Parts: sequence; structure tokens; C-alpha cells
Amino acid sequence: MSKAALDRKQPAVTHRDLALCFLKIALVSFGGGLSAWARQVLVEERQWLTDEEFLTALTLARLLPGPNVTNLAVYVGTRFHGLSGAGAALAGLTLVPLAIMLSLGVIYFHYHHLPGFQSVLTGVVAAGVGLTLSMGVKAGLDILRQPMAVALAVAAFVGMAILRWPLWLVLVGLAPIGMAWYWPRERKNQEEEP
Amino acid sequence: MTMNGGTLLQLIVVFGSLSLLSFGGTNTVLPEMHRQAVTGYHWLTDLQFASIFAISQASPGPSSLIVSLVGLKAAGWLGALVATIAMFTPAAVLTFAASLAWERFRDAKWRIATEKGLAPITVGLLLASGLVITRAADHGWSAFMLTGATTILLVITRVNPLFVMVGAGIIGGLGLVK
Repeated sequence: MSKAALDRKQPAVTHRDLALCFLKIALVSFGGGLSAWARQVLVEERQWLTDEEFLTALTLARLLPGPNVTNLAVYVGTRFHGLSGAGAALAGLTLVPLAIMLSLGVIYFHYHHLPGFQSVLTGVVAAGVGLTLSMGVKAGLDILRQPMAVALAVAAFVGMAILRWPLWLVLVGLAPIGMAWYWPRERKNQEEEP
Repeated sequence: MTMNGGTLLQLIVVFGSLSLLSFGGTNTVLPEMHRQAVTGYHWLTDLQFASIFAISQASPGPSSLIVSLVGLKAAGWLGALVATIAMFTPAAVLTFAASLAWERFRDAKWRIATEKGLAPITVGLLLASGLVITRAADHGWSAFMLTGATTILLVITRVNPLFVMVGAGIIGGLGLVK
């Protein structure tokens, strides 16, 4: 944990608080909009993080592999209570949803032969694909502003969806190109910490 | 559902590595998950994979919990547990280490390059997920229309995706989606 984080007045947060907070985030945010809900709960309601701290945490969560909200939970848990805090936040985020998911899965594997059940799921699958595509489209509208960005996105899509290459191959092939292209070429004046 | 050490080991290897490859979240590794779980190991059928994807999207919590259902089908309850732990642990350990070190890398050039360089690739992978799931579900034209409509709705409005899921389930239940 950095000195700056330790110097700042830390709210008193117990392991139980961490678990319950991320359980709440998991339960209110289903269907998506996770980062918006996480900000609402962590910054506005509990005031555990400032807006800037939240954005830094979210960037880290997005940069690393793994679900963003899971990484966010690990970061916030670590910040307050180290390894055990990370465990508490992660447990809060995953255990109840895991029980719900397994219950739905058992119901599905037992009853999927019922025609009505499969019809409902067909509709939900179509919407679920729509949700994933909408995430891609929204991120794409933000990010794909240069020919190189478009080329990287198209190459990743073709490699994965059309050629069905293994993911590691797509990443090993494209990530170095992307990183080299976006390597900061001139040192800009960094903003000083207040 | 059978339980044997070989399958559990395969679950650990498959999801342990997917965990570390899932830049941008679980939805970016869905094509790879499909490749391994359906085409490679035959743990599930195409339709089952598409269906548990729907369940994971409509359930609360991280959508990576979908791996618990792959594990459940592949090797029963123990499989569900093993798959979930394998999917969450490597990324969580990495994030834990990174959280401790994050401030030091604040201005590192490689960090900025990684962030900007991976973003377009993530977009491509998300769109690839959409296509792979659609093919797995063997969608007809009405399902494609519903997918198109929900995509547009979710891009241009801030409606809670859960309501969209419920609505799509009702439309499906009425037998309107083939």
C-alpha cells in the first residue's frame, strides 16, 4: 500500500463491511452497468474512495486480466485490509451470486427439454448477445477513432471469430503491435500531485 | 455428470489460463471458452453453452461465474467448485500484487501503452463473442432481429439490461423467437 494512501484519513472499514458492500454491488448491478453501480456505492454512498481514487482503481481493474468488478473488489479489499480484505470483498461479490447461478444451472440442466423453457432461453440468449455486442459497440465508438485502432479491432475479431485461433495466439500477435503503436513518444508534463 | 481427476485437471488448466487471458473481462474469452469446452472437450453442446451464457448474463454478480456451470456439467459439484476457483484465483492474485505496486507504475510508459494498445483488441474480442454465441445458438432470423434490436436499445438508451433480458425472455416464451 502506498504512503499516500496510508496518509489519507481512512474510513473505518471492517471485513464484514467489505463483504456486504460488494454483495450489494453484485446484487443491484445485475444485467450490467457494474462500474456505474460500483461508483455509486463506493464513492457516493460509503465514501470509501474519492472520485479520482475510484477512476484510478477502475483503470487498474480494466488493465489487468479478469472481470473488472472482481479486480475492483480485490483492489478495494487490499487497500483497506491487505490479503484478507481482498478475500472478504471477493467472497462478498461472488458467493451469493454463485449460489444463484448454480441453482439456475441445475434447473436448466434438469428442465431444458421442456419446450417452453428453451423458448424463453432462446429469447434471453438473443438479448444476452445484444448486451455483449452493445458493450463492444459502446467501447468501439469511444476507442476506434484511428485507422490503427480499427485495424487492431478487426484483426482481433477475424482471428477469434472467423479463423477461430486460440486466444493466446491472437493476444501474442496483436498486443505487441498495439503497445508499440501507442507507446508514448514524447514526455508530456505530468500533473503534479496536489 | 461424471467425476474424475482427469476432467478436474482439465478444468483447472482451461480456466486457470483463461483467467490470465481475460483482458477486458470474461466476455472477451467466451469464444476461447466455447472452443475448449464445446469443440475441444465436449463438456457441453452448442445449445447448452449458449443457454448457460444466457443464464450468466441474466444472473447477478460477475458473469465469469458462467464457468461454474461449465464445471457443473463437466464434473458435477466438485467440477463447479474447481472451475470457479481456477477462473478467479490467478487474476485475483495478479490484481492483489498489482494493487500493492500500482502507485509506482503510475507514469510508466509501458502502462500507458498497454492500456491504449489493448483497448481496440478488446473491442474486437467482444464483437467476436457476439458472433460465436450466435452461431452456437444456431439463431434464426427472428433471433438475429431481437439481438439487433437489443444491441441498438442498449447502445442508445440507459435502460437496465435486466429489463431487456426479462422482455426478451417473455418474447421468447411466447414462441416468437426461433
